[in-house]
Amino acid sequence: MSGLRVLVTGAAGLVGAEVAARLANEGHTVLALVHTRPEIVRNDGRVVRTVPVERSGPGLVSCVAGDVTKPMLGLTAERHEYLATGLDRVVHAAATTDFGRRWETYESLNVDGTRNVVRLAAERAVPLVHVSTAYVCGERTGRVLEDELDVGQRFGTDYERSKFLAEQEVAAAAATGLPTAVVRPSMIVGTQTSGEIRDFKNMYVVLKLFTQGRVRSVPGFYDALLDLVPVDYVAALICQVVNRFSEAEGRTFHAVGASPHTLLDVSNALAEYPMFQVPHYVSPSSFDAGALPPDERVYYRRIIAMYESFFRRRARFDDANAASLAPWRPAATGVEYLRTLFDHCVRVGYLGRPEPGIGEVLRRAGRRE
Amino acid sequence: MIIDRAELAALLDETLDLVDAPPGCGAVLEGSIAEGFGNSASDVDFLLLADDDHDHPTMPTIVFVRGRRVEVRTRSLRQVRAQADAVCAHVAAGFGELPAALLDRCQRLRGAVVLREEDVVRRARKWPLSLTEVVSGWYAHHSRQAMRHAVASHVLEEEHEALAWAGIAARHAAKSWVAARGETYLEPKWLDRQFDRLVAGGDAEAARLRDRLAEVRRGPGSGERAIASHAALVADFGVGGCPAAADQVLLGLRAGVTTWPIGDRVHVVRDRADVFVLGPSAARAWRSIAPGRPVAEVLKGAEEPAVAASALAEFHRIGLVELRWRDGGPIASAQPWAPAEPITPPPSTRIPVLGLAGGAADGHVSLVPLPARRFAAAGMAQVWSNIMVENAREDLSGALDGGQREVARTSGLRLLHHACRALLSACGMSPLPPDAAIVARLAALTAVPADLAALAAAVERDLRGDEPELWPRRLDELVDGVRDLVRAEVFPASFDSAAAWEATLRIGHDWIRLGAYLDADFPIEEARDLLTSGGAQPHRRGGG
Repeated sequence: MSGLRVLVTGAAGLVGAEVAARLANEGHTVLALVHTRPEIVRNDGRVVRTVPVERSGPGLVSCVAGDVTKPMLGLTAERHEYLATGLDRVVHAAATTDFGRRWETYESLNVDGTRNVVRLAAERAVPLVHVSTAYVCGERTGRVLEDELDVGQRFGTDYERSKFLAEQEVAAAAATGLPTAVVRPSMIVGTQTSGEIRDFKNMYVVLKLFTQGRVRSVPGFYDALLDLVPVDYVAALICQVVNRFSEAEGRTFHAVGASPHTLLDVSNALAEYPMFQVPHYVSPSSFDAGALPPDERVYYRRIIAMYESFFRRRARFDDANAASLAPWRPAATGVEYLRTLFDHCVRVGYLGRPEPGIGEVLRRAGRRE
Repeated sequence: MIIDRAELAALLDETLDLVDAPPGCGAVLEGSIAEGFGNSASDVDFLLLADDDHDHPTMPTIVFVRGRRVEVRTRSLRQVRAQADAVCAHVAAGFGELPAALLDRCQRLRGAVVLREEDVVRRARKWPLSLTEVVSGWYAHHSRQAMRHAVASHVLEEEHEALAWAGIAARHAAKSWVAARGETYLEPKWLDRQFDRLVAGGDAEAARLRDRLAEVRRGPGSGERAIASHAALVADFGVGGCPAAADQVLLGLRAGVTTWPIGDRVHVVRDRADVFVLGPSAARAWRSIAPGRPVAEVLKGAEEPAVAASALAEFHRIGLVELRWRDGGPIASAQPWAPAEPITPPPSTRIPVLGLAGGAADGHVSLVPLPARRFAAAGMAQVWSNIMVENAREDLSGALDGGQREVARTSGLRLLHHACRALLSACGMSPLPPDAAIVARLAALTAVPADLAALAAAVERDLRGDEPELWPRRLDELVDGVRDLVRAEVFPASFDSAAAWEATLRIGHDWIRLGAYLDADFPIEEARDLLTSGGAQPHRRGGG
């Protein structure tokens, strides 16, 4: 199928940019809703050529400045009308994926934003592909099915809770007849073959603190599971859902890795790099952040605490729906894939280079004063 | 040839009277005499070519004919075709993996003198490749590798090694050059004669390069000039990709090598089998290793560049780190007839073998004299035993305070057994003997001082008696003796303070991390209990 007119929200984001570029390359007309950043940069750093909306057409990407938190996506009535007219699909990838934001931010961007996008889609009955997260399962343990959402789970972060509520918005719209499909990526990391990633966020930040020895122990278990999914697979699966929407409609797709990584895998892979420090995982029941050395305590409280629940989770995501539709499946697993990811981080200088820590920076600042 | 054809024919006839030769086989003389070299001590090498598909043994038959040692090999045409095909496959994949012996067999057949059944020999020699190109390319590859190794050794200030590699590089380059001109015999020792033959044929360039090779051999003994002159000569022989440029030498990670600090001591595990413990300077050098960084840059930033250089050289020698040539892959051993595996140093002879913080290094790097899994198991058992000693001591005190003699006796025995377990673990014993036999084992081990073994036996006797007021003092005496013995060499911490106790727990985590990597057979569940409780001792009274 080609020649669809597709609105991609969050098109400047990691997933949104890659999806927008791929859809255009497939011959679709892509209207890329961006908030502040008018540039669409692919995962490999290439800037996507864009054309003004008036000249949009098959194989092209046009940027539209908007704001999903606002009614009518912050567009003028005229621009909103233009945008909505003739739409074949909406891919809703706009969200904040940062951890540690205030709840109001999550609510505004992830929940209200989704509600606004759902409304736009519902007005014209445009099929909606909603990009969620596998971690709407919260802190559930064991096998998590794609058709499960609300099972009374507890959430480890406000981010997850907001995405859960966003999915409920989508589900409510679907119940009233809006054609929808949901794609739930797990932790998005670098590409399967090269480990390349455009933005070093979330777990990459944690990795940096670990490898620099800023944080030496965390509450967690060696057999806790992290599901890491290559960014290229996530984008490919979303595009497939767009293209084969008739098969995807009404279904949810776990965009997850070939198999989850244990924290032991992470520990073992980090140990392959002489310049990396490797954290201890200490039983949560005995961990005491207050007993950490002062510098480490700062890092722990400001950053690691936001990710803490990931070090003790043991969810396994079933992805039968994704397997039946995806154009390809991730194959990279275990320490080998982690090595690919870490190698990329080292190659581009993200990991493995000594940098001053918070304590050092504060001490230097103190000296200047 | 040093043997004329009539003599050769007679030698072959008499040899075939002594060995079983396949009917109708071809026969050739190969090796140094066939190539026009050789001397009175040279073997006569006959190769019989059987027109069949059999697998003839690789080993030659050795006979003595007319006062000469004669080696006779037999190959089927299928075997020689398989050898030729294998060479072709290796050449297609680059020369790196082409074994010297395989190429040598192919070359010897093609440089051989035909003695019988020329048609069979002609069929055996069929080959799609150019022998001169293959031999020249193969030697060029090894020359390039050797020269890179020389440059790397020079960067690491291993000048003696650097010069040795540079010499090998120059000779390999010369062999490549003469091979390209038809002198394909692989054996390195005939290089001068190969040059002589080219010169005698009117090759002025051969004369010039031969003289330069001799000049470089006699030139400056070491240092930058020596490396530069060798590199220049190698290039003149037509071997590129190995200039004497320090910034070309990069650090790389070696597969299967992992880093495990225990306390403040760095341990490096190779192939999940060998544990190396690094000295403090070497550990600093180790932590500065980042893949892709030029070695020269790393050394420039080192606190003690010379120490870091010699540590890195040692890491490379024992296969803990890779040296890579920028855009040129790993710098591998380039002696085609020698094994390319990293060396393994002799194991440390220190006793005790390990302490709470693992092994101890003599110099930069020491090999722990235990297989990796056993090392992790012994280390964990030692940490655990020391913790249990503390635990049992609390039980003993409590029981004595409460006037519970039999409870105290049991606790005392538990303390005794764990002290013995800590001692035997430190000596590298793993798994440990059962409690019933453990005190007796001490006396049987030379690693355990006789007075300590005797003390343990005496304490065991005391614990059978009825003077409980003696037990704590006697047990403390034993524990102090055990810890003194171990601490004297390798113990990093005591159990004398809360801070030391915390340090011990952290070391426990270090051991668990290593043990989990190695899937070591040690009391992980008990260790997990320990960590779950944060090291709290269930019987310890508050405030302690």
